[in-house]
Amino acid sequence: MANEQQAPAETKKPAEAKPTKRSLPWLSEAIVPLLAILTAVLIGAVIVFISIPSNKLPAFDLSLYGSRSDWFFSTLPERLRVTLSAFTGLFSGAFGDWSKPSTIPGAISNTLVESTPYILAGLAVAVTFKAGLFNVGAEGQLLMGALGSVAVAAFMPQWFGVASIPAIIHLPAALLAGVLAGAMWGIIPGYLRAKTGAHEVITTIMLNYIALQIMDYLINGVMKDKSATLQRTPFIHENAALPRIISKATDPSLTGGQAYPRLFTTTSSTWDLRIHMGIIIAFVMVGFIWWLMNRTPKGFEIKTVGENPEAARYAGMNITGTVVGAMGISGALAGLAGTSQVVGLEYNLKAVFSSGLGFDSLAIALLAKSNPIAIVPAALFWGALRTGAGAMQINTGISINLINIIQALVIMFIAADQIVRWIYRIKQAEGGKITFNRSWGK
Amino acid sequence: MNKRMIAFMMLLVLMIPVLAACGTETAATTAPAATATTAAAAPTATAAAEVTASPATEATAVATAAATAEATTGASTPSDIKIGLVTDVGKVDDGTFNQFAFEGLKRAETELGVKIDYIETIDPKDYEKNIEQFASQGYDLIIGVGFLMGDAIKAAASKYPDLKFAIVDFAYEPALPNVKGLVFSEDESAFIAGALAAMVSKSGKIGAVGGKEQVPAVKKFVLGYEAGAKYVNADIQVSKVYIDSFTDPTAGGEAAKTQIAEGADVIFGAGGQTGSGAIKTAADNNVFVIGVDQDEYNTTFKKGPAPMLITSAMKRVDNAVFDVVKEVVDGTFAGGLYLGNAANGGIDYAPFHDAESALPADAKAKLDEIKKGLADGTITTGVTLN
Repeated sequence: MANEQQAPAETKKPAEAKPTKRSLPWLSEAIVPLLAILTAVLIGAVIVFISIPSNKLPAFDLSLYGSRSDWFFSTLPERLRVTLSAFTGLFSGAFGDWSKPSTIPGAISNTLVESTPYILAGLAVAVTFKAGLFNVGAEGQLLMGALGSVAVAAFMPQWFGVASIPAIIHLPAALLAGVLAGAMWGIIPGYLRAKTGAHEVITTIMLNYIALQIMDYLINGVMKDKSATLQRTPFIHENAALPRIISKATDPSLTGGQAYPRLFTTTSSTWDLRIHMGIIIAFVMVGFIWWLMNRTPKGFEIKTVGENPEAARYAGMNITGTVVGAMGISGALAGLAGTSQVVGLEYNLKAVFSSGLGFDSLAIALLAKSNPIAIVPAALFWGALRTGAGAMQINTGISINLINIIQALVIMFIAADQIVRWIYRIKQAEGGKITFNRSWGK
Repeated sequence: MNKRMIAFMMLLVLMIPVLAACGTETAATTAPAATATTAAAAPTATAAAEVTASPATEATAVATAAATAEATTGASTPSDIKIGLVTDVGKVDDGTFNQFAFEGLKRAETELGVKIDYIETIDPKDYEKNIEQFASQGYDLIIGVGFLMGDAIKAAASKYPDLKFAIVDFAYEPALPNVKGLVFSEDESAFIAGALAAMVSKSGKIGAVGGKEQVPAVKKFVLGYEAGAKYVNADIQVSKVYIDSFTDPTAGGEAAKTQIAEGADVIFGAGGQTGSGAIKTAADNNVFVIGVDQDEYNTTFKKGPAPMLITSAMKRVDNAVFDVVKEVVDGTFAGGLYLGNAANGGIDYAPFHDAESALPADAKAKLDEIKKGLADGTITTGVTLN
């Protein structure tokens, strides 16, 4: 069971067995999250084992089996097989069925597409964790980003009364609009926090609702595509779309007459992928945030304010500016997550866009311990679970909620890392680096 | 890192090939046909074992499914036909049209011997991905449940012109060659329910709690209900509320309470879980209620006792799904429209169950008469949208 989850852990084991105090400092950091994932997956496997739907097992028949318990025990091998196929299904959904190579690009592409907003929104939350803030508002900032970008991407030519605007202006304008809208939605609670002390958890939750309702209002009102039966905006202009990396040419009858750009156009169904440039932007942002946090004075200020605001104040740092700045960066990143969904993937904004991405990103930042680099594997794990869930259900008929259970268990084990440390007898991290801090996600 | 931990990790590593071996072994015993493929790739490393496990398990799944299908039907094997169902956000046992569609599919599995699978959607942005999951594996017919999947099915249908698709509650203009839209005359179904509401109402006021007003099916239900009530009692007052959610039973309950306070003594809930919340609350307040989509006696009220549930305005999504699967099996599938109405049994009203004694003795006869009228066109609901 759980092969694909254990595989990454295995490769690291030989390294672990050796004394690793100096050589791999990141490993001792990563060991608790990895073991949390492993434990959660194992518990998930037990749940599958017990709760396999009856139609996937030989039916209980009193003449064949003496009793219910006999039946249960006689189905053990079958149960083991189904449990295994749940996880092979999860794997093949997320990374392709390796016996059918043609399924591999599509599956991996879907996983990356799923992970793109998780990376960006996870980074957004991680930045605020570092600053000692708990940004529950990534969802609202993401929605505002999506809204801002779709407004520019779909309607900008109308504002200037032209048929189209060159891509070199239109695409950056759409991205910028999304980033600014998200940043604005982050700065508001940041400013309220810094100036009035209003707790950012409360204000960001409230702003989530406001963003949702604004979006609903606009999509059902001025931004609605009158010709569509669904509640959605018109398709964005082709010059404002982020190119897909490799895909078939768009069928204009599906996209309101727009032909969206592709870096490489193919005619093969195998390579007709949804993956878009958003993933590249996400990786660039990971590098940028890592650089910002670890190589610049601003990053140092953010971390210091997060760990000890009194010391930061004493050192002459501008607390207000740092808090507002961190929330602004966070909002901008979350806005970018929403933007990339709209201009890279969906090409319009639907009233049902409401995603939960912003809430999942809290979990991702926790899993990554707010480390910008670690956000990538954490987001990929989340994306792979979500992508593989469908194939898992096809294989076993297990409720797709199993994914939610595994995700929740991972978070529980991260939050209560003493459980994991106790199960696997891991000592507290060496060095005794104890800082009194009020920051989250560590 | 201490030794116990390392030992534990090693144990886990050791377990992997053992478990993988278990998988292939059972596959070998249950499906001899699959052994050839399994044996071909000897599991040397764990990674290889992982890869080989999946074809083996799949082969077994197909083999066992085929075996059971053959056993039940005994006819030539339509068991090669694979049908995939993608639900709207919800579950296959959530008491909404998702469940009804799945029940139709299960009937197709037992009666026609096709192989069925399903994916429960957890988020609207997953529609496309879930449909893709079936399409990339070459499922013969892929059924999407719900109006909101309209764009996703259309995109998949154009990407996979060789596969067949069906979608509940959506009609394409113009029709697509490989998609069948399964739509219903909700107004006719609600018309019958509204007529019954008017028959039992003593206060002359009745209420309807709908889901999202923008969804045509909801509006047709609510307006059909009003028309049916007025057909029986021209002076009846119908209070109509739309709630902007299908998943908010509390808001539905509150709306029902407001209508009851205004004097309504029959409440019709037409909006997924929101509507179910409305009729549950109303029934708790001893007001007659009417369910929607399927017989809510079996779902919302968990097979009773439900003395306040007088009927449900049913859309026989199960029949529609079964029929479209049958068309695929028979080879008569064609793109276009399936319209379920009173004439073809696509809509109906649910039995009275526990409320029978509280209803007028001739209620059933009268409703059947109205249904017959709707079927032969002598009665029209007069409901038009826009």
